[in-house]
Amino acid sequence: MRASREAEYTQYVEARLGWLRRTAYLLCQDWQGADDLVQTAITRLYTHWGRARDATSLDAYTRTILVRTFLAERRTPWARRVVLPGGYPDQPARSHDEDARLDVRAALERLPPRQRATVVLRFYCDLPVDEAAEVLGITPGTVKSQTAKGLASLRDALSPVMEGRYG
Amino acid sequence: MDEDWTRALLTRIADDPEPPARIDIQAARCLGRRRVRARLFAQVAAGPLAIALAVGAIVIAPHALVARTQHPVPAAPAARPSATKATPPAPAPAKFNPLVPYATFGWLPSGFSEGGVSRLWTNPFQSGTDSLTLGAQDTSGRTLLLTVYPRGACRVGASAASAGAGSGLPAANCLIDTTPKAASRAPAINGRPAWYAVGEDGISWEYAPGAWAILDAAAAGQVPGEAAVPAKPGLFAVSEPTLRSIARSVRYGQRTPIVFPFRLRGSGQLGGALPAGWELTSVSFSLKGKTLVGSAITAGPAGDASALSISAIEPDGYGCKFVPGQSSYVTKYGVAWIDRITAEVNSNDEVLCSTGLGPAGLVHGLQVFIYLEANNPADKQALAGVKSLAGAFAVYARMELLGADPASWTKDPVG
Repeated sequence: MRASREAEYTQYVEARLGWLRRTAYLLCQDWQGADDLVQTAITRLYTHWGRARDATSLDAYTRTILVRTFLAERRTPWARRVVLPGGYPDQPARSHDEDARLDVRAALERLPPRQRATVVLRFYCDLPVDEAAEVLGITPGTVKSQTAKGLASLRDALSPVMEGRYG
Repeated sequence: MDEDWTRALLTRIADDPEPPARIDIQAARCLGRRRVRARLFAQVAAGPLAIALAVGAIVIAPHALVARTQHPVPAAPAARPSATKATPPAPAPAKFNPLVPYATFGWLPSGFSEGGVSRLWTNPFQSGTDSLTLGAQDTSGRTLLLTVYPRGACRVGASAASAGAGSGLPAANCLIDTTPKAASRAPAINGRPAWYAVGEDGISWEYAPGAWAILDAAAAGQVPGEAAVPAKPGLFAVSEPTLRSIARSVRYGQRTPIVFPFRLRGSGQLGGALPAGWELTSVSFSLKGKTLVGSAITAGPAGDASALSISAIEPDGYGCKFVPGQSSYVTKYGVAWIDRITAEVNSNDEVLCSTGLGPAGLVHGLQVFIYLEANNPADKQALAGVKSLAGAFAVYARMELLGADPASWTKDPVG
């Protein structure tokens, strides 16, 4: 890749890093996993940069790489290709509000990976059913059913939380 | 209000305080570069199949094929070309003939030889931009890539990224970015302007009026296919003076055609080997002795130049991989195949490869790969003419393997 294209790539990734991390965090439910996922996804983005930069929506292209990378890692006993050094320092003591967040995260984590990805795409990325189906490589009907199941599971798990802490 | 509630929860979680990111963009670029290079050296089908090989998983195809490391025989050391040897450049063509590589290395440093697979191709995503890429490696895997563009293919000056947002500059496939941020002036190559890429291990130069070439020296320890760890930055294949010597010695206007051990016969229904409006867009070849041996071809219609990829290669012990739940074993035409080696390819695409194992997995001693897209990946629309090919097996049925004797091989694989 020529230096100019490297610069374009770097500029793009730097600008989108926060968005990628937050989306990956919702998918993985931990920051370390999120960073690993983003690292793998942006490596793949690099190898496809020629195609990606010509895509109708570069963000959509990148999001597809991210989500499909996440699903592939969960689907197979996948040897991690990039291992980032170091970990995170211990977290400070939890507050009441953080406990509530953890409840939500735990509920989200209990969703099967594809269901979780569907929920994240539909309600965090605000993708319509058709676009979510395209990202996930499944039919719109499956997106609808996965969404319904995901919402039902979250509702069941979090009803007390919703009423008591978020209500 | 489940949906609004879920939206609020997800937003709340995503707003959790973030620890410092451990993401390393430079490492991604480094590893990505190695994968891009690896696919150029993968002795398998060109186009999407090769991309699948390099990327390994999600977007196209996971673990579909595994590359092998090329260990070319080192060339005999040759005298370094003289810095004063400059000849008036002949005009470069505006378009390359994909079956006759226009350029060749003239000199390589000791230990390096032209090897692996070189490609002459039309950019699948920006039709009309041709390039010829030649590879050279040494036995430790250090890599040199020479890319030669025809006249008028490259834009010289600032990139859209260098110029900043709102510059109005379009993206360019071949861009010689000469802004100080991206490049520094290099000593002239054969009397014509040249530039180093800032922070990169490469040099670009104008080899003829309006025609540019780029020589890229990969980081050391290049590993085809997947790599476990990012390459260590800063370990370049050759020094700057050596880079310039290689650049000075490149020979242009070559006329040696590639010969192929296979041909795709025409059919009455198609009126030729390819559907109307399709053309040969990419060729992979390697240098064996003094013969340029074609190993793969890619063809497609305008807008999707890599819709069909065919390769026939000597088995190397790797080949295609059976993926449980995604692949199936099929015996057809007396050949043992793996059909649809991955489900990650778009659902209507076909990927077919002979197993490479045992006599039934080879065709005249060669392993055959066929990749056929059903839709244009850019717009998801059905490809014009693809139905007339009648699927990957029908493409194979029209393949003619020409045996082991190069004398019976063809210069026109779609003739």
